[in-house]
Amino acid sequence: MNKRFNSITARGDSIVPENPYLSVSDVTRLVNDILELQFPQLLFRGEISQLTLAQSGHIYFTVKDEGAQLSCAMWAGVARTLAFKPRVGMTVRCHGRPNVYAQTGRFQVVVHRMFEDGEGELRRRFLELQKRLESEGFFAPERKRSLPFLPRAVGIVTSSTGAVIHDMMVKIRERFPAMVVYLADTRVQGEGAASEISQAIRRLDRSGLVDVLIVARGGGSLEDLWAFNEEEVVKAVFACSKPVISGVGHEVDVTLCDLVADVRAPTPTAAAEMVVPHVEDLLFHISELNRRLRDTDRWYQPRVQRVDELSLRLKSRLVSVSKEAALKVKAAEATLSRIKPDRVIELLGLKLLAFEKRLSDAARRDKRDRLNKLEALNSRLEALSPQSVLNRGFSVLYSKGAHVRSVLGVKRGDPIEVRVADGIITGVVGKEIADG
Amino acid sequence: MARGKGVGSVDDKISLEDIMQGRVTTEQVAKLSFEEALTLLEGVVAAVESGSLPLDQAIGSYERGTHLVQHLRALLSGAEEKLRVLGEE
Repeated sequence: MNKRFNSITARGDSIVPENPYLSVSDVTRLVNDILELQFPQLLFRGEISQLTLAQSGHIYFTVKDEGAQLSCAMWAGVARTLAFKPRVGMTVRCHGRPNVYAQTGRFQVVVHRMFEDGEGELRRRFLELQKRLESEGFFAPERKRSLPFLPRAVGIVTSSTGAVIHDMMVKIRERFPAMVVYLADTRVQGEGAASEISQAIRRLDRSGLVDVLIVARGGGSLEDLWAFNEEEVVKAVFACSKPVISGVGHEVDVTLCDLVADVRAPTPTAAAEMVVPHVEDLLFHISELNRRLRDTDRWYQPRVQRVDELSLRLKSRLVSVSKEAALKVKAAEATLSRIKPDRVIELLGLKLLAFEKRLSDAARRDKRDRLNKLEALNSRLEALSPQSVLNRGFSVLYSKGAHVRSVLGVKRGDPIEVRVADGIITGVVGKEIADG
Repeated sequence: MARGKGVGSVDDKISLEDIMQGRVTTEQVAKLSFEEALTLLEGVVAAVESGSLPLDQAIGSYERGTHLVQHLRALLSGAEEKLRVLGEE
């Protein structure tokens, strides 16, 4: 608050000043004071319509929209730090302090920061480029390569100044202290950044030193991250012979570099986390494998146990075999012991006697039978004896020493002999008369 | 995340078969990349555990398995500062 301003309010309180008229300079100063108080910082956006680059390095320009225009000035010191060249027709975002330029009485804004307001325009270019590169196959999922399990070395493309490289190194150290990291230092925004980034990617790739690359940058506006949307960078990532992780901006920022990379990390630190495995995990895994390898319980002892088991089974089998045998012998012994030898002999004797009897009976029967048969045969034989025939009164005729069986056997006058039971009668054939 | 083949391995690949047949020297093991050595170790452990290896092969595999473990641990050790700035061409 200042004196002159107070004097006005004082007038409102009906204090009559000696001189109610302010000087022009005072008016200007007064207005400037009010403006300064009211608008310590004015943020506005519009299109540059006039532009004068003064000898002094100051820039005078007009920013307008459909209904109004603002005179602007930018001092040389600020103008030198601009990330872009202001041009007529360019939409810009300005940070400034308004005042009235006393000499001309003109209202103006002294701009101390100015950004190219690319958002709309950049977004349009982004989508256009994305569409084209996509149709050319740059973002095809099938060409995404998987990351090496454990790279020999990691290449990082980012700025050597700032928190990003530091944070990434901390993360890598933490996970895998022995990992070698090659940094290709580049600018990550502004004119020429895209070209530096592309060159850095090619340089790391050609060096053959690394197995994987990270392209990284901290968060920022679309404009800040624009270098990572340039076709040049997309093509460099695409052409890289090693897998590339893109860790550009925050999770919400999507760049074309993210889309073309083999893996997109939400942040640079996340990229660092992905690029190397955790050494503790690996050591644990190895220890686990080592433990399993050394765990003879799992592969050696079972064999020993198997041998033991077989040996036991063999032994027990032998025992059971011999037991069986012993049992059999015992049973036999028991059987034997039940038998009384005397009784056996007695039984045997009786059996023998019975057998003998049967034998002698049989023999007797046999003898009688034979005698009977002999008798029968004998009587049949006797019946056939000539003597017995003669005894029964028959006689036999012989002539000339031969038995005469037919009338034809003799002729009249032949001598004959008749054998009868008690002697012989001789004679001569008188007449032979045949029967019939 | 899927991790693919590591780069920078020796040209004449050592197979699990080689390990189990005892055709691998300590020097050859020392040249293996981390991933190769790890894959082999996993194979050796699985084979030994299966109990189907003849005993002499199982014991030989066990010995070479411990070589692989030593090699893997060696690859993971070391903690010196290893950030190198790649110079301009």
